[in-house]
Amino acid sequence: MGKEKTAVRRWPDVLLTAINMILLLYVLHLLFINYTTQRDLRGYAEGRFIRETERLAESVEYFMAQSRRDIDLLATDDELLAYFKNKALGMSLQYGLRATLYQLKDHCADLLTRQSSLGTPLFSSILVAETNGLVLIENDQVRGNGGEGPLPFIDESGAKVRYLDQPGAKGFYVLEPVRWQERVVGVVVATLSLDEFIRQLEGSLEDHGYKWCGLYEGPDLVYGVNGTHEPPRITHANDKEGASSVLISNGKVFCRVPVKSTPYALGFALSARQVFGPAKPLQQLFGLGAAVALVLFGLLGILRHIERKRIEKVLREERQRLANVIEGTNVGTWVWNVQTGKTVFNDRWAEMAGYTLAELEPVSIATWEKLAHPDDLKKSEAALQDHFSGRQPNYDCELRMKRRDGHWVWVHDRGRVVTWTDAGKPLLMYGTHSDITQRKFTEARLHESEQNFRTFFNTVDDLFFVSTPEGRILFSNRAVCEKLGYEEEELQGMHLLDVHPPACRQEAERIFGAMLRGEEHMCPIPLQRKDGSTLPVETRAWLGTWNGDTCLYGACKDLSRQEEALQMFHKLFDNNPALMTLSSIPDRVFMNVNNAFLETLGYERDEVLGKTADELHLYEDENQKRIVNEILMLRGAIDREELRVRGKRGAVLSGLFSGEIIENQGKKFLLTVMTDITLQKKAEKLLRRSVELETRVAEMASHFVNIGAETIDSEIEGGLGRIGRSMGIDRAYVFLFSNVDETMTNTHEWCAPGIEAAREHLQGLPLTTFPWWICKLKRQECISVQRVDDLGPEAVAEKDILLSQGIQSILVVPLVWNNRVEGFIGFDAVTAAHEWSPTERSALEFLGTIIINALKRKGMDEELARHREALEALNRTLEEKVRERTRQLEETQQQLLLQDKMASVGQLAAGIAHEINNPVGFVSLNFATMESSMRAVMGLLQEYREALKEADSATSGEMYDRLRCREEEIKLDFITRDFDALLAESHEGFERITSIINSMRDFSRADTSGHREGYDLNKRVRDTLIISRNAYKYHADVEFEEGDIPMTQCVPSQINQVLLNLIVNAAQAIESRPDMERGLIHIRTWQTDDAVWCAVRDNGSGIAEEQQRRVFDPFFTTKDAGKGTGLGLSISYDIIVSKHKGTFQVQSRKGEGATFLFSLPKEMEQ
Amino acid sequence: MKGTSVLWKAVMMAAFAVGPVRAQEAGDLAQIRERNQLRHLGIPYAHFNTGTGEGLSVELMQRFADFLGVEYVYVPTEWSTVIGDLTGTTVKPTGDDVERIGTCEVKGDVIANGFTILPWREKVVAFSKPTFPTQVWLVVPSESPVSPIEPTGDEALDILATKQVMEGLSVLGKAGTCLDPSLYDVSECGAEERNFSGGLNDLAPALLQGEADTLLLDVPDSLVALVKWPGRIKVIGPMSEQQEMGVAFRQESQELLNAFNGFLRSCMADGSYVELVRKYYPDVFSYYPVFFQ
Repeated sequence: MGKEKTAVRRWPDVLLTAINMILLLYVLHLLFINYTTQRDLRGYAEGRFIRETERLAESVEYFMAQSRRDIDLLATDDELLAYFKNKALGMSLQYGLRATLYQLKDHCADLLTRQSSLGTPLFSSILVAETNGLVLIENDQVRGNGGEGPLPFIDESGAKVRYLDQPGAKGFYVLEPVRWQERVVGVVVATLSLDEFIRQLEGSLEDHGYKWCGLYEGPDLVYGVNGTHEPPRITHANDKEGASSVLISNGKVFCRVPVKSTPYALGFALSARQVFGPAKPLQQLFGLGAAVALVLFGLLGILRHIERKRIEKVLREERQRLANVIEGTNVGTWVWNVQTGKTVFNDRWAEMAGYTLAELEPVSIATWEKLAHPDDLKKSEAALQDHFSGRQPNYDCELRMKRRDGHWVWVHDRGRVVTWTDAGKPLLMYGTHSDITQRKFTEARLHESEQNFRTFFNTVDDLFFVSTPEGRILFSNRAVCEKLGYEEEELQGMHLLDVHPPACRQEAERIFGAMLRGEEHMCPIPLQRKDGSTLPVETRAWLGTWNGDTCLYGACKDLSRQEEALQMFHKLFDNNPALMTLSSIPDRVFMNVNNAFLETLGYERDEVLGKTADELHLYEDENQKRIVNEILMLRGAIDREELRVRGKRGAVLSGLFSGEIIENQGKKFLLTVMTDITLQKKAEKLLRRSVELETRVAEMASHFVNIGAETIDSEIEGGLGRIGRSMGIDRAYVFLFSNVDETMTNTHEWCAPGIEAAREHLQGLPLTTFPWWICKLKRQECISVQRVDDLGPEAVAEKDILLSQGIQSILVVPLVWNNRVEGFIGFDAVTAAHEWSPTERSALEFLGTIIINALKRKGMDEELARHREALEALNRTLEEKVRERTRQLEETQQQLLLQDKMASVGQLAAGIAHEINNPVGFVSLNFATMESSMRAVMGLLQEYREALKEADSATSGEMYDRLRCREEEIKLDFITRDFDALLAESHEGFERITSIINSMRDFSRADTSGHREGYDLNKRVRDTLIISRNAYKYHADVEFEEGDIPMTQCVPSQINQVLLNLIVNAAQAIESRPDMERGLIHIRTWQTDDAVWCAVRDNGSGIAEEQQRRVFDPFFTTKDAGKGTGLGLSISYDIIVSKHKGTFQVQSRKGEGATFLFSLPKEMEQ
Repeated sequence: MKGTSVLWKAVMMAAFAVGPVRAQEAGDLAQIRERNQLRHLGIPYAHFNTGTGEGLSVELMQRFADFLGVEYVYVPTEWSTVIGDLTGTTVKPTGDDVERIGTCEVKGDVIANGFTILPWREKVVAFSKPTFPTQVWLVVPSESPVSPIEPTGDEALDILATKQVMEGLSVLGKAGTCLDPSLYDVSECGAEERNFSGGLNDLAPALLQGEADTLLLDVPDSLVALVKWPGRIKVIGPMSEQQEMGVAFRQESQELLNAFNGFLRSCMADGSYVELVRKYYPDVFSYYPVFFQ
């Protein structure tokens, strides 16, 4: 930076000085005046104005404080605390809590009625709420409801007085928290309306002439009174909080007075005119003159001022430019007085070290020395010396500085001595510091990267060259030296072609050129070692830059290992026992096949190479071929896929096929390997067949245990079929021998589809038809013939027969039971010869055992069934006989029981009759005597009555009357009339008793009582009907159906008694039906072969079924008491059954009448 | 029919048997005017009757006497004898029923004392239109482990919840009044009934002195107690549905009853009754605002 010249015009200083002196004096005067005025004004403002306004503020403060006291009292009201106390007890507003709010409500009401000094209500509203917004009391009402969200005055500020300017809520809020157990649980808020406040204030201001201009909260005006000047922000830099402030501006005095104990302040304004009154005349004149002069010279001053401003502007711009440069370059600057050491740094310099300039004060060159790295300090000093000595035009050094936080930053320290002393020593030096930490870091990273690449370059196995475009080697890696045997210095300057075999250099040159042109991508020519041997490589070359110049890059891949691998591959390929092929992709032409392929499939090499698998018809199954191709296309490889291929002569080979598409030198090939598993498959098949056969046989064995005899034949045939199918044969059969005529019969047969059944032709074949066959079987030997053709002359008969049926293979197993051959089971293979395995033979022998057991069981079951049927028939006959005999025995038992009962009753009746007969006898005799006597008495009595009548009533009147009365009293006339009837009835009674006794006697008598004689039953029925007419004539009609019956030999009196009894009973049964006015008694006689029958049927009340069995029991009666003895039917039964060997039975239904039948044998036993 | 006539005869006989004795001392409106006295049977109870000649009931009866144009006479009585003093028949409540156990002298014409209208009382006296709302609450000392219920807004559920907390606790009440534990199935709830022999105004202090675990207290007394002993007692919840108090007359004093109902109607209409209530129970309006509308 050099010196600068500024253009400054010079004015006549004398004139200007004189004028300025005058003006200066006047200005001083004015200043004095102004000073005094201001002084006075300030004095007034800071004195009286503030005092008075502070007094106003005090009144406001008092007003606020008073309000706060009121609210404070409310917040500590006992009732309110009682509310929270009770609430803490868990009481609800609904039950109990309200009570404690009532007195408080009254206090609120009292506050609301309190009036300000102006006679208006002090508080516009009172609110008591909980901190959660629950409004307890609002004005003079107990609420207990929630407010609209958190109340606006509940906040954390803790201010006791707040001014809120919200819609509908503009004013002062005096708040007092409600504390309960050291917690704020609620708030009491009283609203002082702003209008009221203003009225209060303005009322106070009226006498003072002050204008209230606004309400401040801190320095901010929150409420400005309309129509007043907006007061300025009345603060000073040194204002203490809470102090009154005064500002005099534009002839006005503004005063800001805080209201103590609130965050608010009041602003007042007062004009200077109001303080000092109007201005003096002399001063005005002087002032006018001074003003004119001031204007004139003011112009001068203005011009000078303009010039000065211009110069200052230029200087400022220069300065700014410099600052911008410094700021743009972000450099730190230093100015060093080399001689004194005094140094000036800029902020950026300090910032680089992590300090502020102020923190480094006082700064000097030592400041820098303290921060610089000790190692770099020496370097810096050396650089300084170089510059001081003139060896270097500038000082330039890169060094480290320690930052405040302890880590080092790199700075580029540059400078230059600008001023020299007269002695030629450096005086002032200017310089800059640039932060090059990032650059240093980048350099280090770059160096590290270069090292990495160098290490990689020299450790890689491939050979790398860098040469000129002409081919002169500039650089090669270590692999080149190691593998070619040259030293690095030797290679420098060699040509690329020099490391190729001489014979190939021309070709190599051509290829390299083509590579550079993009026509070739690789050079396969080997390199030549120093010792003359070759190194197989693949070389690639391309153009690049090296140290800024175009160069040729060459990379050679060492193929020596690959060569070895290739040789090994060829050995493996040719000698592998598996079938291997190599074919091209995509045409699949065989390029190479190994020996195993040729030998196994039977081809010559030239028959295969150049052809495809399709042309050779290798694939036996087109589907398999398709699958293989798909897998190869999809995955590029196939692993152990089972495949069947066909040889030259058609033989099919099974194998596990694997293949992979490989790539070599840009071309694709298919390499396949197939392992012959034909024998394995065959063995598997045999094993599978054996297992299946054994399983089938085992199933059959368990199945045959449970089947019934009736299904054995079908099951045998089914089993033959299953076995035959699993073995893959064509016919299976069972033959059984006949012991009687030496024949054999095909009893069971199964044929595969397409094979003709032969069973019906193979019935009763003589055993001599198959001599050899039967001979072997009789010895319990199996016959296993794989090829019928191979049968010898001993089996010529069998051979002819078998071949005539087209049978190629045959297996026959004897069926042995109790060591005796009962038959055989055989299996024929017709469509193809079958090799019988030992397993098959064993299984079939077992099958034979099962079948013979089943057949034998079937025979036994059949015989058993026959025996069972005979037994059942016998059993049925036996049951019928037993039932019949049982019925007879039951009947006999009943009869015996009845007879026994009868006999018992008979004995009883005999005893009773005997006992009764005696007293009846003498009563009867006495009665007869009494009758005779009574008749005599009655005769005499009659004579007395007649005599009395004849006597004169006048002479014997009283006695006559008395006697007459007595006669009437005892009803003598009736007695005499009834005497005969009584006697007659008594006689009848005696006769009845005698008759009953006789009946009982009859009942108890033996059979032999009574003489039998020829008896005409029809006549006796007629006679009995006549006799018993009185018994039925009023109740029933009688029908007698006389049958053509012969005479019988009976005791007439007894049969008569039976008939009488039956007819009387019928009449009485009819009489006992109240719903029937007149019934019917039907009597019928008929005869059967050995008896004469008589049936007496009535339509009376009938006999219930449970009583029918007892009707013949002695003394059993269905009649009312006194209506019968219950002996009639029992006597009748005894007469008919016991005495006459007849039958007696009853047929009846309750309510439908009864029929009594009895029979008398035509020929009576003597 | 026959049975009913017999019963009617028995009733009439009983009536005639008692009537002649009571007719000498009882009286309907005419007799009161003739005697020129309205005898107010009173028992110190909350702010209904402070016992010093003041109280809502006392002042109401004084006004009623003025309304009738007769002299007001205060007759002190007790809860256990107040009905007998009015009707001349001593009674014993058994649940919602009442057992007449004897006769006694009639000493007053009206019971006005914060007298709760109960079913068993309605069987022996005639109540006026309701004059005051009330309810029976269960109250415990503040240190009791029993906690107040959470009001559900459903009175029946609140009562059930309150009764549930009583199990295993002793409940202090006053027999023969609306605070009789037997009226609220206290023992069925698994609580022990205890009868307090002192005055209703002493119930809350009795609880604080530990005479029982819990206390049945009506709303007027509860309001007084909550203010008198804030933080010492807590209200658990309601034991009864909202009840009403009324002024009781003899069942045969229909004229007097009608006169009082008319008087009460006029007081309510001109607001003087509300003012009277506000004087003694200013807080009741917030609990029962509907009652006094």
